[in-house]
Amino acid sequence: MTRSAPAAFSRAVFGYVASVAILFVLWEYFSRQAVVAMLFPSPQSTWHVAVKLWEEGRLATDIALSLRRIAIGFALGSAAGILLGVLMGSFRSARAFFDPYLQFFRFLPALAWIPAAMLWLGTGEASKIALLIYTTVFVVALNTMIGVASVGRNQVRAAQCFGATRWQIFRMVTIPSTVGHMLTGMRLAMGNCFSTIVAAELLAPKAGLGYLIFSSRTWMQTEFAFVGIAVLGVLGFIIDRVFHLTTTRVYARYLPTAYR
Amino acid sequence: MADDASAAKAGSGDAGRIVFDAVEFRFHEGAVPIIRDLSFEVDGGEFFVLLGPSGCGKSTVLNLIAGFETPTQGTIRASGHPVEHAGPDRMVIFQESDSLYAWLSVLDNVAFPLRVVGVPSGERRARALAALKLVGLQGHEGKYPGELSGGMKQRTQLARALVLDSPILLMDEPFAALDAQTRAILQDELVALTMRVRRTVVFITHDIGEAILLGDRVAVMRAGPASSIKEMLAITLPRPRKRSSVEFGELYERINQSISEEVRRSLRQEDGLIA
Repeated sequence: MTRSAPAAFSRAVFGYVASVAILFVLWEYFSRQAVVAMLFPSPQSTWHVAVKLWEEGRLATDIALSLRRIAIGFALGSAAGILLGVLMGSFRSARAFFDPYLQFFRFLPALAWIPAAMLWLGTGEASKIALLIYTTVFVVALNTMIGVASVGRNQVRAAQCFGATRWQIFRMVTIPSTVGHMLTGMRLAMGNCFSTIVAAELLAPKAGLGYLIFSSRTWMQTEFAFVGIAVLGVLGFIIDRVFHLTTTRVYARYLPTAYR
Repeated sequence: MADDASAAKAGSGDAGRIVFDAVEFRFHEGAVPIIRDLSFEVDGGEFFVLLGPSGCGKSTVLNLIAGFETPTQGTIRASGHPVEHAGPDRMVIFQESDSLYAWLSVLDNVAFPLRVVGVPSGERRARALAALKLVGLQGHEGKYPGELSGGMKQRTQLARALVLDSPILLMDEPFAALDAQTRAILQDELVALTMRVRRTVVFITHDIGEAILLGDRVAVMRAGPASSIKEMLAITLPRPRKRSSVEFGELYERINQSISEEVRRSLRQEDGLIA
């Protein structure tokens, strides 16, 4: 019994289709059980609202705004996280100094900081992006630090034999061998960003997918929330796939086999 | 190789010469010494084998020559200079091939030392290819370490160690993890190679046959801790040596007895400690 690659692929596609189909059937079923239809919109009514929101141009605006916030927060947070992780992985003193903060904050969700963020940074873009940076930085730092600390001893020793300076070892051995860990951290952080954007857009926004979800409460338009949830989930899925595929292509040789 | 000046010198004067003078090493103050009062000399261009039971401190000796560890007493000189840290005059070939850089191609791995030293990129390629040819890896330069067999990985390590024309090669059981056939082939090729490009080789093994097959001299180490050299044997069998020859067998028996004595002695010592 040998399994060919196309067979494995079609099996995976079948699995995806079946699982999504079952979800829709269950969704349809439970929405019909709802006493008040408005409280549990069906797939069709959600779809109609989504189309309407798209035609009005509002959905595109919400998506664009949320993605822009995520992109900025994720990029800045990743850069800071990599810097912090490299510092902590390279220098014992930096590790000792920053470790308490890392271990403290990484268990605190961005949600907990919403009141403080509003007070300090106002209700504009700054506070939202700050929360996204916050939710990115620690997980990236932690993974980067582990990567730097677990550089192969013999790889470093070989480089020492060639007469490499500490800076050369850092640049030519430590950093390339840590790329896989950085990307793992960033992939986890992207997930965090998607959870956090909903909370961040609680902060008196004018638009955004999180806003779309919360605004539904005000007008009892449950469909809005469903559209927001569905769009966020699908976007998260697509972005994770794209991130994973591009990084495994571009950085294949930097990655441990487990990540691929 | 492009520059054999240093290698040529290995046969004369201090180049490639290693001198241990009453060396002691402990991992930290108050710990039992791994090796104690170890003195020996390796001539430039000599193939020197350190043979001993596991845990006897063979690898420690190699790490000391490489400069990865510093003796707690005594001095080590390589090519006339005191060893203070690792440097490009002493190349290590590790037992595990995890010292290769997984993100670099075979060619870039072999060119890596040249990049460290600052050789211009055009020259790097030519010299790396020459080193790869020397170990029989021509045609594989575009592969990545993950795509290589165990034997090819060790060849890559060897090419990378040869590319700087260092007078001293330090080999820490480089063939121990390979299958018997591959090991035999690489042993033969290593002998042929070191006869062509003359280098001082310090080769560590626990395999008696390998020691006799390769070494100009074999140093049998005492069982640790506080190890030193028990006896030094000059292997005068003509090359290429055959494992099936009578002289080979006699020598094997002799060394085997010597090592068995050491293992038994260390077991008795441990018993004594427990009692």
